[in-house]
Amino acid sequence: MPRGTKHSKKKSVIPPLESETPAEDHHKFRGGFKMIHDGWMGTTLRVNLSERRTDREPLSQELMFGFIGGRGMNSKILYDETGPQTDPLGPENHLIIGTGPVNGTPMPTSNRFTVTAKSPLTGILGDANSGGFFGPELKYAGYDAIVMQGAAEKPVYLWIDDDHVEIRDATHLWGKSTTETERMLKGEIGDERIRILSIGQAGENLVKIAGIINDEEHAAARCGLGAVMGSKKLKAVAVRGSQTVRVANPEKLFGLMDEMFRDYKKSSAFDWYTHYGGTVAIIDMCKAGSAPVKNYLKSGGTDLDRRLAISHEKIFETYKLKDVACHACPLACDKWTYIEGLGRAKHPDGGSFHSAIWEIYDYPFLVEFNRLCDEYGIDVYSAQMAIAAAMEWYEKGIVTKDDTDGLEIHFGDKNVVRTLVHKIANREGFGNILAEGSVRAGRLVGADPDTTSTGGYGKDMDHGPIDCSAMADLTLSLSVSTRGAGHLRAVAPMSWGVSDTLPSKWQRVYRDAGAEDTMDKPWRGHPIKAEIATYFENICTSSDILEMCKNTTEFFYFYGYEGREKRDDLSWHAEFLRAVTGMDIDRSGLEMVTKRVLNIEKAYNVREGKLREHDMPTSRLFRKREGGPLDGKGLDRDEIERLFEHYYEIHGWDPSTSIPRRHTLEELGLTYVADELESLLGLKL
Amino acid sequence: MYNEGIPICWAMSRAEVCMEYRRIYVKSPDSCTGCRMCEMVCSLMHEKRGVNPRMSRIRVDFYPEKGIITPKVCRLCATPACIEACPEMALSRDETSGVILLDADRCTGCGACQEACPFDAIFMHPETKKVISCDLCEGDPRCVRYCMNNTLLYLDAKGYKALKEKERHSSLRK
Repeated sequence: MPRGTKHSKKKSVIPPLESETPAEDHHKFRGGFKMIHDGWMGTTLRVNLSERRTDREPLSQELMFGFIGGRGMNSKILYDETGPQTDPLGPENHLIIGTGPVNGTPMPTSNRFTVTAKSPLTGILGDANSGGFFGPELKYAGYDAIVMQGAAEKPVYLWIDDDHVEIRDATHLWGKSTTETERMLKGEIGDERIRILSIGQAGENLVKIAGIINDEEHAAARCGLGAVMGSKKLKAVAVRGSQTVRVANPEKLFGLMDEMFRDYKKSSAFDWYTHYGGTVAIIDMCKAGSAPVKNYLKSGGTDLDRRLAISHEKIFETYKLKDVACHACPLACDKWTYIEGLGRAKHPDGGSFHSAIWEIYDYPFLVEFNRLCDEYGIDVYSAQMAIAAAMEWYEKGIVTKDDTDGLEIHFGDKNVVRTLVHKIANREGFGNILAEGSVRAGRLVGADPDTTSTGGYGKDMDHGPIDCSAMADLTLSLSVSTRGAGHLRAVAPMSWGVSDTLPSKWQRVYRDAGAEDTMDKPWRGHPIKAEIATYFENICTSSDILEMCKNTTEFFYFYGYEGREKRDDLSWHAEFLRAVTGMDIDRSGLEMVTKRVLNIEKAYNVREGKLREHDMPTSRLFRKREGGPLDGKGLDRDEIERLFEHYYEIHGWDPSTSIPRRHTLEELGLTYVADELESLLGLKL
Repeated sequence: MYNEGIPICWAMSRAEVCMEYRRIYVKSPDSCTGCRMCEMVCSLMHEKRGVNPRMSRIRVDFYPEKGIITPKVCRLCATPACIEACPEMALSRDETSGVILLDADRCTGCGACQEACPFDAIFMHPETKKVISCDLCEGDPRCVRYCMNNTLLYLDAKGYKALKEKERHSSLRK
């Protein structure tokens, strides 16, 4: 919106939500006057695949100023337009692709987009975000979000070329891998520079751990959203844009960028992180004990000697790698790797590097597995966990050769992993069971919940390969995630050991809380850990709302260095928002928005019947460690219960049920949510 | 001919060193990560309030199979092919800085200059349908300033030569 209008003059940083009606409803969009905003493009694209209709509607002020963008906007739309009666794989489910106001500007790492839908894997809120170039391109085409509903009769793809939006036949693309789809579409449209998001065979076959792949190697993978796209018979979305993302105050933006670049370079992490990328965390995690081994049957960190053979240093010495960046990213943690026989491939970084969960230590195989998952469009984490669980079931005799189509599923067998990925993607034989995700598959084969050990077990989601046993804050952060379970929502970097020493800022926090003795004891559940988790939860939520990458925030390696305390990430984000959109928001205003988003997501899950007991991890996480860096240590159940209670208390949620309290929702302008929950649950909040 | 039998890229790199006006250099084909920050700051700089890489005067090209990502930069050639190719005589050169100047009224957006440019470094504005080319941002090119890993260098021909010689020496010493 132009500066100097009603909103930017207001003193309060929190815009009213419910009283205000959208001011620009009367604006015509096609061939008429379009309101020009700074930051936002001001338009949502509505696609009804059943009726093959596309409409453009103005982005309401409520979404803009109350939820800002990306994950926030998506969650609000999902809460309002779907509910407990929605079948995740039915035409009534919504698939929302959202970008943030700073997407497409030169703001460092502003390249992500969030895909949100009711998840077929968990049955609750599902979202996943991805980097690359798709998000900014969507903005350049003139849209802040695409909301898709209905289902096509036969395969289609969506072609967006600025104002020209077309639902096209995709029968010839059905059954093709994601890279093949992208190649064919680029040829068909005749432009190499268009950006494409697509599903592979897994999404088509409604595999519940299917993801969405964009720009060949970036994935919005979690929560099985590829299956939602498959259920709508939507193979791909292709975008080209030639409009501009407007910036309210370019001089200020340039100034902030100068400052932020200087700030990055102050961090000791900058040099080696830009070189090694996310892979650098693997050995650190191993040393801290959070790297998983053999489906958590062995304690994390007991395999350091085997991991050192494929450490980041070894890999960078042995193989040819090329640094690649997402849109506007100064870090370039993405790499292309060149391996004989495989050609160019994406270098698997971070979590997808934990093949130790199958007891396999082989870099070329990891690259191959990663690529296989990308081609089929499968979530790498969920595939890792499902296959690892299957290995344990086979070893324990819960499944036998008769169940697995004659396949002997042993730990350490690469061929088994390959075969299972193919089977999962095509829902063949035993793969049909694993395609339900590890938790549901475990129930189907009658396995002990422990074998699919995960935080937030009751939400049917596996949290990816991180060993949280004997790690209190990690257990909490992964379990309370509003999208089931996940490490990208509230994890403090020190809790999973991405650094040897605790930065002085955090040492002070511990000391002030009188918790020095728990500082270097990850298994202890002091309440301060819930507060630290909440601090990082705000950073993660804010990053998701603005659609920028978490890797340059305190969430990962960029924390704790000199000068960082002066301006934390939320202050950075608010400054950038002000420069780009001209809206009047400061740190506390942005924090309020993150809370609003978190509460509406929590309310969504409560409405689906997910309460405190569903947040709890399986009992394997409470087992005592044997060997490794945390030998003999384990979580204390009472302490963990209290930690969870404290976390809910901080959020203004009822500690015994985790349902948000009425006054919490009212303060955030979500009275209608409180009313709905009260009438639905039949209790007084 | 002196370059007979020499691959064309060689001949080009030789020609590049001879370009007296050229100011923006690319360090090496390995160093660019393809973040396209240069494209965005360029478009923000020239469009004043808006960003779209398609409106920038520098473009990043990807050759994944070869492991090369490289920005295409205007070389400010001594005898610019774009000027010669323009049928409307809309292009000219600034004698002091060597930047290509456009007479917007004359430009019809025919694209002849784009076809003529051996470096693919002159572009069409998607909205105005007129040609855009590098103007060195009045001596402070934004693309160079915000190139995070210093792939883009702001140097004159002499400085570039000195840099390359220094690199050669240090690699010989190794």
